[in-house]
Amino acid sequence: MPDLRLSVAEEFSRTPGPRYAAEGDFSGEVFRQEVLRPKVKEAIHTKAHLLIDLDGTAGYGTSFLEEAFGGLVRMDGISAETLRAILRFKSDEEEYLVEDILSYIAEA
Amino acid sequence: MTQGRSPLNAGTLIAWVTAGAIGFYLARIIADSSRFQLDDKVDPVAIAALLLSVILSVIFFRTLERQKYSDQLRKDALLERLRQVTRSLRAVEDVCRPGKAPWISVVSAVTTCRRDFETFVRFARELSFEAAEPVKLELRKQMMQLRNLLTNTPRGQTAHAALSVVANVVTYSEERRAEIDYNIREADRLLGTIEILLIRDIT
Repeated sequence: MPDLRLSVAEEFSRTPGPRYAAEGDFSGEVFRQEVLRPKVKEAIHTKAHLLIDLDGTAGYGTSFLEEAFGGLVRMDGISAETLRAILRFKSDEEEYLVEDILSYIAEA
Repeated sequence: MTQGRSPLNAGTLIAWVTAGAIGFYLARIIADSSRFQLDDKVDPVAIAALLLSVILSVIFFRTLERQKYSDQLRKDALLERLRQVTRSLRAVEDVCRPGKAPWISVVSAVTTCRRDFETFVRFARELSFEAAEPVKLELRKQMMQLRNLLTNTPRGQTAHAALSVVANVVTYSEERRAEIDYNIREADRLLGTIEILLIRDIT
């Protein structure tokens, strides 16, 4: 099965926002609910990898990433092991973000 | 540009030895010249040794000059990258000073600062600047902490949160502003330490 791909800049926003929808636009909560979760579920269903491209944005707040990826574990009940198995990341502009995201998944 | 014995010192030693050898041969020739007659035989070995000494000396001195120039260029390039990090840190400070700022401005400023720092680290690795590794690691931790202090809003509804976002505008409590200020001062101190180590490493 070909791998899936998700570009945050192209499919969501070039200016990711705060944590919750109530706080402002392009929140981590909305990203997780409307973009990330459906793709993750598709990857799980089709036994594919999901490549997440983090490049091309103005930057990510800690709470955006924590809510988006930690929230998959905390709110959507997807296990950290499953996420580590299917998720791949591309982050040439900020390589350290990948380690941060993996820690949010592990500590959710 | 590595720690320990500089190639400049070894090269200088060789250059002085070569100059000494030239001086010795010249002295010999001058001393012999008082007995020199037009039909005397010239020692070809001595002439060849003298010429070789001259050539080697020129080569060594030119190499030394090139090395000095190259080291200076490297230092200047690294210093400029480091100063860019300082400028980015000032931009973060300016955005946060009022205690309230557009979310995107804060995220953009802190992201730029972190990216500039990582660019400096990559440059330093490429140009073999190894002297400040522990300080760079500490500064990286400060950068991570700064980003968390500025952009990690709490989960759930929290009254009197240290930072809160409403309508894309983030507000920091007095306490949080003090923490941010402290963090920025620490980052400044570490940047200053790296700059001193950088200057010492080259000279």
